[in-house]
Amino acid sequence: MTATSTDHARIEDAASVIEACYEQGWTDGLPTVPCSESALAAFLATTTRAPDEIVLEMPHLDRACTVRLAAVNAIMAGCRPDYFPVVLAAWDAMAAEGWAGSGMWQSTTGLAPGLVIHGPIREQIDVNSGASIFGPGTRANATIARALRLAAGNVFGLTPGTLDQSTQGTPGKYYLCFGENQEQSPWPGHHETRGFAADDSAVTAISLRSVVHLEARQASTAEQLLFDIAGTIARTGALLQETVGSGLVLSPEHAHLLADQGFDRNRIRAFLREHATITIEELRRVGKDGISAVQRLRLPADHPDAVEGRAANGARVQVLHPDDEFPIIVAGAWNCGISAVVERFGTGAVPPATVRIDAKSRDIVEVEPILRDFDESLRRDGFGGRWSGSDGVVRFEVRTVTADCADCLVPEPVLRRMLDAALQPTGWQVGELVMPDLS
Amino acid sequence: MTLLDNGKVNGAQLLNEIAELLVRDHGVTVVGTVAKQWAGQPLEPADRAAIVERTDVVLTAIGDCGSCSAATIADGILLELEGIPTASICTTPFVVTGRAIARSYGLDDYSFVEAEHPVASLDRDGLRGRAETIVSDVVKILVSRQ
Repeated sequence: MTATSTDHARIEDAASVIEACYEQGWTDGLPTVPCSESALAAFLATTTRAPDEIVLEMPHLDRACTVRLAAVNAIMAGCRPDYFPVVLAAWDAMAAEGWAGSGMWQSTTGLAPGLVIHGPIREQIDVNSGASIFGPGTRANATIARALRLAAGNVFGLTPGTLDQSTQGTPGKYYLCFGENQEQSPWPGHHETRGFAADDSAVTAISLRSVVHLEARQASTAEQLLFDIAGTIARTGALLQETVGSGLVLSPEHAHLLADQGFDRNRIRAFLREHATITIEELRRVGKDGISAVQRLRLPADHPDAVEGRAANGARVQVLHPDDEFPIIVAGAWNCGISAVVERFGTGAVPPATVRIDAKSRDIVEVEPILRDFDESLRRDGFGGRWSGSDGVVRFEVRTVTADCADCLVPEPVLRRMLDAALQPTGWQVGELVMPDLS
Repeated sequence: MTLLDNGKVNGAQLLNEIAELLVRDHGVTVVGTVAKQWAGQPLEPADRAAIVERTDVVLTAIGDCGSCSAATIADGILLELEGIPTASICTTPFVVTGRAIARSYGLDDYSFVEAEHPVASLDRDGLRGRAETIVSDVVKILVSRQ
């Protein structure tokens, strides 16, 4: 790579803006993208919702995140404009699930806002649903989740050690977002089980404590695998209350092993409810055999606040909530028998929420600042631009204004490459490119 | 006095221990205990109104986690705004949260009771000891706001 002196100046400018964002405290520790008025306009153009509409409220803090603030933080997080409808749906899903608005983003638990993306939008904006879904590498996965966490600090003031009192937090607080691997799943999409159509795009919000890795590459029967999952769910350390909220992220290999042996989602849930158990002796030795009076937290049966819990020896305690239709999602690469148990916040009585992504048809307004810049540079040589377009495709026409420098106009393929490069961060492309007749 | 229990482990027990000392040494009458169903949010306005209706002062505990400490301080502030002196109890690590929430209500100097952490794992003797340590702070706050 080589750079001109102009490039160097621009890089230094960008670096100083990033530093200024650090000085303002507008960061989660990683660099943030500066938000300009034109970028904000491009994001707001992707939705029909009013900029002042509230997407999530924390009344006890007297603070609210609006569509505008959601956009500012999405920009700072590194999102493209076409991700913004997903970000808004993610906020809606978080609000519908309820934990974020009820104060739990402040909790010592340190939960992460986990997001799962379903439907055709995954392909349109390149959401990773395959290899390394819980790891880095994909812009959409990283920045959509980051948009929410940045706003937690910048909008709600939930900074570590003050209003975010996470004792340790969880690595998922640094961006936990992945796509459902529908193409390699034996079952309908998770969003279809929640009443949406297969070709709807949707987001599921899961406030989670941790993602527990499950090694079962040797499993050859459904029962072997399900007992392994049951044992992973029923660990004593997961229990704060009587039961745990759970969720499965099954690799395609595991999902097909189960499906091929006659297990659908409901049969998997029934098996796990029955077999995810802990004996009362195991609970007693960790001081969790009793239940507290009001919040029904686990504590020793002889604790001053214990009201229940003197179960007989040999008793087995089921750790999954009987009504919990916990999510079972297929994601990851089809290359090994590895899956994950997601430990949701709460007892399992509150289900994760799935919300449809309503993308407005994409308006040319999103990319007008870029096109105006192009127009301006063409005008220096006596030409100008005129444009139209929708849904991510621009028709650009170069026309003659003064035509005093016919040689100054770059050839069509070069101009197309320049326009494509300028539009690339927005997800838009050049369709028809009309050149003037200079003969 | 009304005891406002946020439902956290040992919250009600600590309130009862302190109330016993206030009854014995200060002639306080406890008119009742209100148990919150959800510790992470302040009282619903209707529940707050019911307390305001029947009591002169409130003692509330225990802010010993991120969300419940903020809500415990917010309960105190909201009751004070309706004229009911309130002593909110938070454990030491959550003093910073309490101050942050007080600032968000524009009350930078709002005072509350700090109890040594932890409270949830104390036995009865431990709870009695904690109550004896902080009861004078409870009295000081309630008297200063009368």
